[in-house]
Amino acid sequence: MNNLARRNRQTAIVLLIVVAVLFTLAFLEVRQ
Amino acid sequence: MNSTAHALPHPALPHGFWRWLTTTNHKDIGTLYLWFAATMFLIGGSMAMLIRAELFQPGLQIVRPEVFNQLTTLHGLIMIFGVIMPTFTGFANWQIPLMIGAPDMAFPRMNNWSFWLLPVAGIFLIGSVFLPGGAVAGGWTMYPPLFLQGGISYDLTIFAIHIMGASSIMGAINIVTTILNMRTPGMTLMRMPMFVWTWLITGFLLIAVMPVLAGAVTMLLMDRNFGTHFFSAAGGGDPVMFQHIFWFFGHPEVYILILPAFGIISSIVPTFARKPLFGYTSMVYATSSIALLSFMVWGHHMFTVGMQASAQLFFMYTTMLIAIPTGVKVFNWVATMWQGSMTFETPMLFAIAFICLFTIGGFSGLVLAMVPVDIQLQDTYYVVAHFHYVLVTGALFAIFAGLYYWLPKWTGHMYDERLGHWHFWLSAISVNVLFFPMHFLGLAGMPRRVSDYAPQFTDFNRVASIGGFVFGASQILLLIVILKCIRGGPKAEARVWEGAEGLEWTVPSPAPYHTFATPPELE
Repeated sequence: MNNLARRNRQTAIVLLIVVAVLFTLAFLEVRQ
Repeated sequence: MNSTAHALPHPALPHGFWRWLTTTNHKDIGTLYLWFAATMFLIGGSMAMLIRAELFQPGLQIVRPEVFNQLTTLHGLIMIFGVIMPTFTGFANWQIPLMIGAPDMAFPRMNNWSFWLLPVAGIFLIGSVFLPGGAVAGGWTMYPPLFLQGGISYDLTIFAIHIMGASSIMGAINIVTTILNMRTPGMTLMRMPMFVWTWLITGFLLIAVMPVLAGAVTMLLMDRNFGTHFFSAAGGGDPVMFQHIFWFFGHPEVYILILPAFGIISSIVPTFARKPLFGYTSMVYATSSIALLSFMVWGHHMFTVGMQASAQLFFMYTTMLIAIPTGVKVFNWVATMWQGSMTFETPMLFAIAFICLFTIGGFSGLVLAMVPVDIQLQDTYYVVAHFHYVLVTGALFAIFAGLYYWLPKWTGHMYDERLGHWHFWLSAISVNVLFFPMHFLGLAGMPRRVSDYAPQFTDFNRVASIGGFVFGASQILLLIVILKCIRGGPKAEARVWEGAEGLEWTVPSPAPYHTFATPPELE
């Protein structure tokens, strides 16, 4: 895997984590 | 990226259906997005025509009230998720790699998957019309308790929203990654074209709010099918909580629908004024401020739910603050035109109409931001007038402008300027006949989402309907212009417009299937 592909994958993983956190937060907001 | 990869023998491209199904080329996928959006525009537009036909006079003429509610609901969902968002994603696919000098998007196979999810979602959404009980009818905002009570089509709609959300998230991750990592050497962030900047910010907005929408509709799905009570008051849940979560998505969504439009206008105005964009840096900061503020204003959609006065004041002031960065943008466009050598080809006409008419929508937004006024106008036609000025003469007119601007680059032919002018003038006049009277209807107290109305509203409704029919019919001209342009016409040069700047104008027209296999040199 070349550098650009690795950097692209890392960026995507970070953004996906943001997605997962926000999805979870929506549920936590209602539970309160 | 190196040039040897390009020299390798190319596997033969599949033809016909397989080519489009399996393509990973950003230009192909951009084209797919645009045609998908055009199809949905036809369907959502036909629904609007039916709505305006029913409202041509009081009483029930054409559709039953429950069908009318399905029409307004589907019209909203289709136009937002099926037309405006996919069109901007189509523009992004075509233009962003060309503008930043990248050979393709960062994740070409995910790009294919993002697109092909959309027709599936579209079929679920529209197909639900034929299910027992008809399609969803509670409004595009999907508020409980209504949304908890409907039939199977409500579940199907939730599924469609999930699919479209997944498609949007993948698209946004792809676009953000492409912009952050694949710019040609020397293109720093502050040297990017404004369209790329607005899409970068839009991408972040999508990544931030689509999961929240997905969470909200997942909870609806669970309330409907798995015995939970997130939003059902009978089980101790809170229906108003849904509104909070929905609008925490919904307001940034409004900017997702308009920021790429700002980017298109910021590309077109300098080209036809033959001057660089006035205040580039302030444009970038204004766009970012609008995006940040969009997370702090959601309460203005629900002033009448019974929130505290302090919360109402907070949302009122934050909403009014948005006028500042938006004003910066409008003044920058005007300053760009000031003393420019302007010509008025169709893209510029639509761009100028955008600046004037979007501002009307912005001003009525300020009126609605005032709590005491909003309490009077909540759920009236004034709101309908406001958001149609923002989304039709705003987002849609920017789309028209962008289509005329880039069509020669995509097809290699110039479009028919005379027909383009006809399309512009018919649209620009009729759209005001259609939406301006709605302000008066709203101020006089006509509620939105009704199939019948009191007789005193008849005259303005007639005027609006006539405007609507002309506006709808004039879009046939656009289709003719596009088809004519694809089939032939005068050959377009690489730099289609005399005043156009940017990397996309350095490649031939039509843009070759593969561009920038080696990163281009910046001046």
